[in-house]
Amino acid sequence: MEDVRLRTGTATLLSLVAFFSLTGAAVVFIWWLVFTENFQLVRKNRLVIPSVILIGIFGIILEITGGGGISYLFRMVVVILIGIWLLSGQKPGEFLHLGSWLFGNRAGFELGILAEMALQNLNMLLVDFDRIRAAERMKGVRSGLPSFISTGRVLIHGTLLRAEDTAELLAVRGYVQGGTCVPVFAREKKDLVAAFFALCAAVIAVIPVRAFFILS
Amino acid sequence: MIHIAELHYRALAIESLTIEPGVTAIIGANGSGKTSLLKVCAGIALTEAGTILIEGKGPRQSAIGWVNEFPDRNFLFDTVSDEIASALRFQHLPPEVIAIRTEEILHRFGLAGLSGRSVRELSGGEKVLVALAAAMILTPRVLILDECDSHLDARSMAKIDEIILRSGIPYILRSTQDMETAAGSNRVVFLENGRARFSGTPVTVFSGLEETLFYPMTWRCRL
Amino acid sequence: MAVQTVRLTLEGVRASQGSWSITAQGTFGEGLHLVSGDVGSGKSTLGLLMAGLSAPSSGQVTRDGISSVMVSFQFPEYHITGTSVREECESWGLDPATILSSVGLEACSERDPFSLSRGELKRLHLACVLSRGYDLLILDEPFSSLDVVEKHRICNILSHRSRGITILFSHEQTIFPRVDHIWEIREGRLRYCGSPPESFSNWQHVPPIIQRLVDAGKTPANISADDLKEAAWRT
Repeated sequence: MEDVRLRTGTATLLSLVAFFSLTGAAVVFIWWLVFTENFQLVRKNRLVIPSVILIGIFGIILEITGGGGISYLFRMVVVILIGIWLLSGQKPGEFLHLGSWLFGNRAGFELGILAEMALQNLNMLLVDFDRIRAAERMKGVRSGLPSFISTGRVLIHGTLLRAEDTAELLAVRGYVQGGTCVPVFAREKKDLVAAFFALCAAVIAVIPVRAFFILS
Repeated sequence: MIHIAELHYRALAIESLTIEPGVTAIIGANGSGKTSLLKVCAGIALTEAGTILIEGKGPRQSAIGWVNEFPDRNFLFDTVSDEIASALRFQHLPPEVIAIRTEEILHRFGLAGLSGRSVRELSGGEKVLVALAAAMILTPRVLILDECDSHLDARSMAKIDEIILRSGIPYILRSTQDMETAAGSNRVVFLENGRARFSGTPVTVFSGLEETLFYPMTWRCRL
Repeated sequence: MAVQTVRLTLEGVRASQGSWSITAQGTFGEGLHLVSGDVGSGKSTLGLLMAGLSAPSSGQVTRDGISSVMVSFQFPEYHITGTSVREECESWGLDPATILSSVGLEACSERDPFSLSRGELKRLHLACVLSRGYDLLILDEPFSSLDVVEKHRICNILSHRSRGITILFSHEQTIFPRVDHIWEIREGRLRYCGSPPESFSNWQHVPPIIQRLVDAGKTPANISADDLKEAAWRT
């Protein structure tokens, strides 16, 4: 979806729908299969499997301690899939335009630039991660908890250094709050189709829930 | 003139130092305080004690351009034109004004063809040119370069030198590990353990360093 | 007892990333190889390929007789696994006391490696890496973050390295170790220039200081500081 406003709005709506009911999650999953690159996205994005594993652990614990874990797992996986779809279509600079469009050139610009930088950092972390793993392998460090911890330390250290540099750069370029931004958005016809069906999915998912409430 | 007096910041302890207009190279061993000195001059770091006056004003009241060591860490935005325009955007100038000044500096630096490109895809030399353009768009009085030559090859460095010299910026402070670059500057400041041990023309400063490895190789080779 | 010769061969190797690509063909034997080239010309990628840490998009990389490989990344932080400087030395299988005294960091033994400055970290890292022998050692910009004094010291150590294939990627222009072979990345291709001093005529981006000596009729025998000085003061 080219228009970041539509994409973010759709993703937010679908995430909420998927989170609040199993039916909702099922409907959103079908939408995801039809309107996105579905499993190609999963293959291309390295964060999916680790996220699902993490959620899976929570789900299992939840199931053992009180139940509802399977439903939770399924709903959260769908939310993750929507999240991956949102991020994978993202082009650099879009969130800045989105922020400025929503909240203006001061607060909005600031929110947008923060979002951009967070995403930037995420990309850098992935690059760093490869190098760190290579360095550890060559040193003969076994995979496992110690390696996980030391990898984490290097990633955090790198993030902090970058944050420092960014802060300095902002200061020296005279950043106070916000900046000039003329929001510009691209759009494709099929965006509207997908968004329309997302709305339909939301409606379909909501009705049974309301009926459920009426019944009880 | 840039006047520094009784400056204390981290390991830096400078009693008195005057920096004249022109290109001044700051050299010294790692840990001697080069980056600290540059950050204080740029207003990025605030001194615990002492004063630093750039033509009578403090660093935060002066227009400063800053380029740090790693080209990749010099970017706030993704596209070349967004990055170069950033200082103007932060001032909330009208978009038309920003567009004109960005175009002008893109042409001056020979970057016109790259304006829509992502900064990540540029070569090392191009990245530093972009960072330099972003630093110079506000026509600063002081341009500060923190070892930005350490990740550049000779040809890119030559191009950047040319742009810097033609810029008309009164004060150019550059820290460098390359003694030949220092030898080619107007003035050199040699820092040792946080103190400005030598300051003056390259000939003056390096004559005091003749027995050390800081003496330029080209001079040692009588070239 | 047969001695295995170590050899790294690149055949029709090609790697690309986004808009640029690099091709390489050649054989690296035992000794110190300098690979010079502009920053961002693909040196790091080539280093990873040689070590087998990434695969080329076409062609083949063969490592004969090579059982130990190490790549030293430009950013020493990537290599840190210890929570103290001492532990870091031990993680390399080295004696902390020896390493730390060789780089003047004895006082930092219990400190967190991340609290060291980048220059100190690089010194520590290089001391650990160069204390060990590897059949194939790739150094990606080992001189970055080092000051003049440190550069000379590392060059000295490298000049005396005897075993294995050592490949030095650097865009350094003045301070070098004594090398056995010079390579260059030119227009996206890795080219062999030869051994010094014959290599100088094939080296398109030969450092200005060497070119000036050659022009003055004082071709140095090799590229280390001592060689340059010897040539300059020749009568």
